[in-house]
This record gives sequence, structure tokens and C-alpha cells, in this order.
Amino acid sequence: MPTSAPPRHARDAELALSTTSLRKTYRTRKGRRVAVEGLDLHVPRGGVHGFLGPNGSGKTTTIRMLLGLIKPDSGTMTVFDQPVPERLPQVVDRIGAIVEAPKFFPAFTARRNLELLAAAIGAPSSRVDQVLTEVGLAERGKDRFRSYSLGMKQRLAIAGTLLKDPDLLIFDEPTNGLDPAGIHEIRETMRGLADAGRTVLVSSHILNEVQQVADTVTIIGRGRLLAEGDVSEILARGGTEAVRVRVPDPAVAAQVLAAAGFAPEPGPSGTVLVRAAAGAGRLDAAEVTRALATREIYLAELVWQRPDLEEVFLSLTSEDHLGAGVQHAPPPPPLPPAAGPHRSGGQS
Amino acid sequence: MIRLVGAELTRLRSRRLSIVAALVVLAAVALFQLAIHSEVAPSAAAQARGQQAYAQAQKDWQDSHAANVAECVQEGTSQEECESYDPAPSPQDFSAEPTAFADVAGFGLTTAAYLAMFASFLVAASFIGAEYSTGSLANWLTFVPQRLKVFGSKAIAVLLGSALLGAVAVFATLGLTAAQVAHHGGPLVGAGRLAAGSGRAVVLVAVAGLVGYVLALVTRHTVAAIVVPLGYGLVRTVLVAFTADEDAPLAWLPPYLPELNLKAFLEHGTSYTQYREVPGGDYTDIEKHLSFAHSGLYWLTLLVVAVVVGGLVFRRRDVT
Repeated sequence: MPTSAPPRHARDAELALSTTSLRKTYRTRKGRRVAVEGLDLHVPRGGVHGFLGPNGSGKTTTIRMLLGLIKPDSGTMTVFDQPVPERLPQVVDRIGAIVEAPKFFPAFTARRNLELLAAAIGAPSSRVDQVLTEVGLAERGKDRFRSYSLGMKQRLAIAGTLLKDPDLLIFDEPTNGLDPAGIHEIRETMRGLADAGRTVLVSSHILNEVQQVADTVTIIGRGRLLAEGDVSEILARGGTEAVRVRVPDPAVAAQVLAAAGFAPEPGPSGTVLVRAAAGAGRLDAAEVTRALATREIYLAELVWQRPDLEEVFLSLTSEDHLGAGVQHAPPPPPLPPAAGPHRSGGQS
Repeated sequence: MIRLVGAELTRLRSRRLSIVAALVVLAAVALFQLAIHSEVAPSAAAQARGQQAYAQAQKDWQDSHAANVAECVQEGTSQEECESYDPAPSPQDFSAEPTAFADVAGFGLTTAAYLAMFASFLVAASFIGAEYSTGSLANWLTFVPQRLKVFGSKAIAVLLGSALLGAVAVFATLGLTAAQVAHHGGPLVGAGRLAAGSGRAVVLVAVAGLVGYVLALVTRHTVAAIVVPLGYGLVRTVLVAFTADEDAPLAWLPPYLPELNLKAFLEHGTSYTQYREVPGGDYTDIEKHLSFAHSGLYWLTLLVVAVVVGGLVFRRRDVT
């Protein structure tokens, strides 16, 4: 993966969608609530892009604005280089979206729901069979939507998006309420779609799911951009890698490791947490074991302690855990974005 | 656009409420046919009773006529006028002959039209209300983002569906009534006038559907749309006090009330009364006419306003 940001004009040419200074407020009884505040979003073409933020941070509002469902107060948006919502009709056939929960007519069968959508866009009815088969619902197509489990509803919604054979798929919290098997299934589906050359934008507050599947991420809080870039770059901001070792005498082991040029510190339950010393480059677990073994200290356990997206997310959004609210004071300044988004998946 | 209208019509006819509404309207038509059966096909017993009653009335008249007229003349009235006060019984007044088609079908047409209007209002309001309540409207707009196109296609589907329901209701009523009357030897008179009335009824049913659609679209809820005419009904009971008198502050209002225009359009003109105070503190009824042209313009204006307001609201509104 590239490690530095390409020039802006080059980035824009490769973007599936972008927003600039996007702002949206809602009127409430307590005043105007800022949902999205000057958001700059850059989603590269191809791959899976995680769109992360606490509940109420403006993810769904941003997606709705991109899809023309709600109007921004100010700012610009583009999808496949076309300004939206002005030219949304020109690109809508390239976008498949599920906003929040799957929304179909509960009394209609799954097939009838998809037939209506297919009729609206002029897709042949044979396409309905294809997409139902693709998501594994061919056998249940004649069942009413209301009889579906949450996982099946989610799959039907994905089938709906596939009717258009889109280049960009937008999934808003797609795994809400799903069991582990359902989550795994959706994750595999998203990865498969990205590997087939499509761009997948997935908004979520479940970090593990995004970390496992996303190539790039954007993190927002209170409607503002907090960080964006490749997952690895974002993770690098969460702290240095460390290994936790369990040895018979942690104090002696710490002395040995310090002498060997590591930065040890006491870990939980009689373990030692070992990091690379400042300026020493990446931590090598083999060097840690070698340093201890040469002094006849043998490990009972070695566990990598890598920063994960959840830690980064929590540190970035610690002041936003309640999501967007009525703004009385200016929010903290956003962190500078990491290296810009890059094409890391297939072509669209 | 045709594609979208087709999709909307498919949804409209697939909805359970549409099917139930159509069945209820047809059931009402069937009930009406049962109700008028005795009028268009009097039984032999009814005919015998009629003849018996005529004979009795004839006898009573012969027994009392001369005395009645003499008493009348004694009071200062002319002989001719007194004769006219006590005419001989007419066999037609007592016969159980089949009723003329126009007399029976006219009432049926009005009933069918009002019922179909109510049904189409309900179906149309629910048609868009369900989209808001299930959230499927947002999903639909991710496929077709052109708001006015979506609004127009739904409106056209509602108009066509409502017109079809209206046509089925009024033509089934007229057709079955005509068949009954003809079968029992009654005269099929006034069919042309009723056919014109049927056309106007179909137009009104379509307008009722469109009004239901726009109200539900603006209020974003089926029930809220239904509450609007119910609320009007309540307001109307209060309004009577301000419109009944010619000198009342809202005396100018009746020609703009929907129910009067409904009647005027359906019946090709109608009349209403207002009171006028006469010297001496008494009141007299003044009959006023509401023309068909006025009601036609009224409904055309309402249709245009509904379409423009609905379109503007739908175009500007956030859909969540």
C-alpha cells in the first residue's frame, strides 16, 4: 500500500464519492442541532471504506444527503465526479444503498418487493431471480417480507441494491441486530463485492467488523472529520505495538530486556509488556525471545498487543460518545488527516 | 415515467386494502340491488294489495266527495278549486308497477359515487401513508431520485386506480339496475342523463383519491389524512350557524363548501337555502342555485392546487 498521499487532483480523479464542507442542521425545540459540520469525506474507488463514528455522529445523515433524501445546508458532494444531488439521476444507477434498516413493504413477498424496484428501474424480472439466488433467498422469495428474520431482511436489502449492478454500494450499519453468523455473512458479502471491483462504503460503530473488512476508513465525531486514511495508518496512530510475555520472574526479565534495548514495563498479572525503544524501529518478537533465552529465561506465554481500530476510535471520539448534540461551544479542532485515501482494492 | 406508473399501479392493485375496498364497494352494489328488488319487481301479493287499496279509496271518495266539496264551497272557495282539493284516486297511485329505471338508478348512482369516493380516498391515503410508515419511500428514492417524477407517477396511479374503482362502482350499479328493471318489464328511461352523471361521478372518485393521496403525503400519515375530512365535518357543524342567514358574517361561504360543490357537480347543478329576515321579524327561505360550471371550476382548482402543493412539498421535504 502507498504510504504517502498523492496530489489532491489525482486523488479526486479516483474518488467514488466526496464531500466538501458539508453541513446539515436540524431544527429542534432546544435550537438548531448540528448533525454534520463541515465534513470533508473522500471515498476512493474500489475496496471497502469504513465510515465510522459514534451513534448520532452524522453518518446516516451524511449518507442520506449523498442519496438526495435530505438536503444539506451547505457544502458540496460528488459521486463518481458528478455533483449531487443535482446530477444524482445520472449516477443513481451506479449506486446501491441500504440506509439504516432494510425498508420494504411488509405485506408483500420478497419477490414482489424486488419486482417493484426492478420495474421502477427497467430491470428485467429475470434479474430478480438472479439477485435472490445471489443472496441465498431463492427458496424464500414467495414469503412475505414481514416473516423474514433480520438477517434475511438484510440479505434481501442487499439483493435490492444488486438489481442495478452498481459500482458503489452504501451500507449503513448493515450488521445491526445480526447474530455472529449473520455478521460474518455480511462481511464476506462486502468483501466479495469489493473484490469484484465495486466500491463499498460501510458505516458502522462496530469496529472489529470494519477492521476485518475495510481497506480505508473515515472516522467522524459530532459531524466532523476526525481521521481518514488507510486502516494501517489509522491503526499506527493508536500507539506502538507491544508483546506481553509471561515469565517466572518479571522483574529480572524486565532488566534483561531493558539491557537488550527494549522498553519493558510491568504488565497485568505478573507479565511484562515489551515495546520497541524509541527510534528503534518495529518490535521483533523473535528478538524478545532470543534476548530472554540467552539469559536462560524461558517464556510461558507471548501475546502480541496490537492497537486496534476500537482504541483509535475511542481515543478520537472520546468527547463524542454521546454523538452529536445541541452545540453550545465550538468543538475541538479535528486531527490532521493521515495519508489520503488510496485505491487499495480492485478497479470499478 | 410510464415504467414508474406501471410499477405504482402494480403496487396499488397488489395491496390488500385496494382489494378489500373494491370488494366492499361491489358488496354495497349487490346490497343495493337486493334493496331495490321489491321496487322493480313487485310481487303478486303486492299487486293484489294495491288493487284492493285502490278499490277502497275509490269507494271512500265516492261516499265523501260531494260533502267535502259542499263544505269547501260554503267556506267561500270556488267550486272548481274545491274540486281540485279532493281529486279522484288514480289507479297509478295504488298500482305496484315496476319503478322507472331513472328513479331507482339515480339514487343508486349517488350512493355508489359517495361510497367509491370514500373508498378511493382511503386507499390513496393509505397508498402513500404506508410508504412513509414503512420507510420504503426512502428506499424507492434511492432507485428513482427525481422527486417530481416519483410524485407524478404515484399521482397518476392513484387517479387511474380511483377512476377504475369509480367506474366499476357506478357502471355496476347502473348496469345491474337496468338489467333488473328490464327483466321485470320496467321502462328504461333517463339512461342518457344517468350516463352523463356516471361520468361525472367517476371524475369525482378520481379527485377524491388524489385529495387523499396529497393529504397523506403532506401529513405523512394515513390516519392524519383521514382526520382532515373528519375535522372538516366537525367544523362544518359550527359553520352552519354562520352561513344559514343571508346576513350572517359567512353568508358568502356556501358556494365554496366542498359538499355543496360535490352535489352540484354530481347532479349537474344544485340549490341551497338561506334565511332572509322579512318585516315583522319573520324569516323566509331563499333558494340559491349553485351551477355545474361553478362546481366544475371549483374541483378543477382544487385538483390543480392539490397537485402543485403536493409536488412542492414532496420536492422540498427531507425523507428519512
